[in-house]
Amino acid sequence: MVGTWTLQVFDSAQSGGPVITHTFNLQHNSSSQLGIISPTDSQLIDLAEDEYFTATDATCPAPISHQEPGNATAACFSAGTNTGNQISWTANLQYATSGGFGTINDQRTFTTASGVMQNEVYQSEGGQIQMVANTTASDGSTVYDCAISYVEGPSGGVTPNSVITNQLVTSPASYSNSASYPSGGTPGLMAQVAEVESSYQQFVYSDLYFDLESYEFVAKWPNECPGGGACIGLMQVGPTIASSAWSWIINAETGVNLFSGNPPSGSNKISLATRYGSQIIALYPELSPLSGYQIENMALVLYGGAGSQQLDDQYYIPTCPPPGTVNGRQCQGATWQWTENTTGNPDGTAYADKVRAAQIPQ
Amino acid sequence: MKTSVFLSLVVFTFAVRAFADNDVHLVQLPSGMTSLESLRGADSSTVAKFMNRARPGDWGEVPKESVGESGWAAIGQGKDAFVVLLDFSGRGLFNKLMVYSPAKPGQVEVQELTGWGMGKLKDIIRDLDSNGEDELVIPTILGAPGGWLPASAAHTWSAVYRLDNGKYIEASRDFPNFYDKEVLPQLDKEITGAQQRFDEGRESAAGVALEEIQKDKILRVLGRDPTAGLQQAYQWMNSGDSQQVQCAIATFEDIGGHAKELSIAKQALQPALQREQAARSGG
Repeated sequence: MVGTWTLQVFDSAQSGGPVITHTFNLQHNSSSQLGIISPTDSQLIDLAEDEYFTATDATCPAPISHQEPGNATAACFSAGTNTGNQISWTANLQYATSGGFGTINDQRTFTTASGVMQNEVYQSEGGQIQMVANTTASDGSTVYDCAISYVEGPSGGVTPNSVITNQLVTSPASYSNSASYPSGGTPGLMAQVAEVESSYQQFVYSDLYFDLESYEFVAKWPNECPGGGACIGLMQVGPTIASSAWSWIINAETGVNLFSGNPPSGSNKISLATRYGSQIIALYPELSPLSGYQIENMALVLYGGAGSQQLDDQYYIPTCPPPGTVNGRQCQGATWQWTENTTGNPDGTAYADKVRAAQIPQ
Repeated sequence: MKTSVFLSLVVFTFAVRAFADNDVHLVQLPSGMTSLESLRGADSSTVAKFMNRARPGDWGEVPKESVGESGWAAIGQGKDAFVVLLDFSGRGLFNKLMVYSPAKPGQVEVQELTGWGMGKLKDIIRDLDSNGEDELVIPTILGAPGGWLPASAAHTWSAVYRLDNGKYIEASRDFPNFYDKEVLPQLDKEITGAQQRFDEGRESAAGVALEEIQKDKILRVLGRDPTAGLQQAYQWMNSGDSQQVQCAIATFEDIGGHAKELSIAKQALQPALQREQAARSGG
């Protein structure tokens, strides 16, 4: 850490003050035996803007893999030495949510000549970069310099709402093109979910890291759900993995897949809601089949975090309307009908209703 | 003149819900099982099978991917209850905790408890008063039904459930030591940090409010200050900021008896959300 430091040595056999006090100044001096020039201490390197490539660190030369799609960010490493020797680097990018989810450990080693920039591309990942440079001094010893910088979310350029909406509503990976999209479904539903879950924000400003002086370091990090970030990002999907934390596109795809696609394990929410609906109908055969819109409401309760295996905790519940009377599972004098279950699951029904009421950002 | 007065009987009729409301069910153990003991060390697939074979008639299936961590809670007299975390969201939110307790021979009682973002069982199953019976510490969402807008800004408070005649009931107020030693000091630290950041211009007023409502809730639950947060709520409701307005709604609803203020705050929420949506892009 650059700055003025005081070293004090105490003797445990002697009471009182330090036996040695030494004050010194640390700096990255690239004209000396070794000094890191870039990135600087606590430098924030922005993840590139949305799906387009942008080298956000203006000091970087052209990125080495700019033709690759997705979010690419170049971090530029350079150091100076007056020894004339090569400089060896270790750059370790680490990330985890505040609760330890979505871990990234991306360690890279490379060498540079004095004053020459090495461009490392970080794609759909970010966090803290701990870098150590070393070279051989004129007396044969190894000298080191180190620094810490950060790759954060795209604080400079944000993804236009229209791009996110297109991804969720009309793209090949959209809800309406998903495997279990129900007949009569709502094409914009996943965009409404994104608005309710995250306000369309994959990243938010937060104090994920502390610097060496325990100063909370506020920057733009993946948008964690409460409880340490077990779920994350635009669709608040989980369990959090690195790619869903750092790529809004992967996050959007994961959310749609979970709701109505082919999630890696088990059934999607539309399928499970359909099965619960069928199980209720099996108990009350007079009920009409659920429409696509109704199945979506049932699925929203499951996605929203107030779901249950109890059939009387679903979005709809059978009711026997007046003048009918209930005798066992018979609705005598009337016919069973589906009714919104605000009593049995107030949280679940309110969540689904909030999604339905959400305005899709344009 | 003779005046006749007719009394009319107004009959309100309501639709009758199907299903009976029970929070504790008595179910038969599946054939081949004589007790819950065989579930020790069971994987999630085995637990899902057990739950689906030992379910009341008005329960749907439990998909195996919804089954999370399982474990045991001491319920006194040397008995343990089998405890299972469930997540129907598929997002790791874990909103249900199922408690299976030994009952009559061949039967178990099952109770469903609701939380939000329940993490690890080791943080949930605790013997807070060292009486040999485990309490359950369950993260519970703050605010109105349906959660916060956006959901990612929601906060929880830790509710304590203790055994009462073999059934878990919410009894947070009986455990002031837990809150004094573990919960309130941490909340005080977070409030101080948020206030300091706010003073330095690095935190919004909403960020401070979102920390404060957690402490206020606990002070109300413990009975130390039944109107904790009320004065701030009056400020929050007029802030024009959706997060602060939601803090006000949560506070008025929880304290109760402030219908007018609650109504004003609810009316202020939608315009605030719309203004904020218009002012931002994604990202």
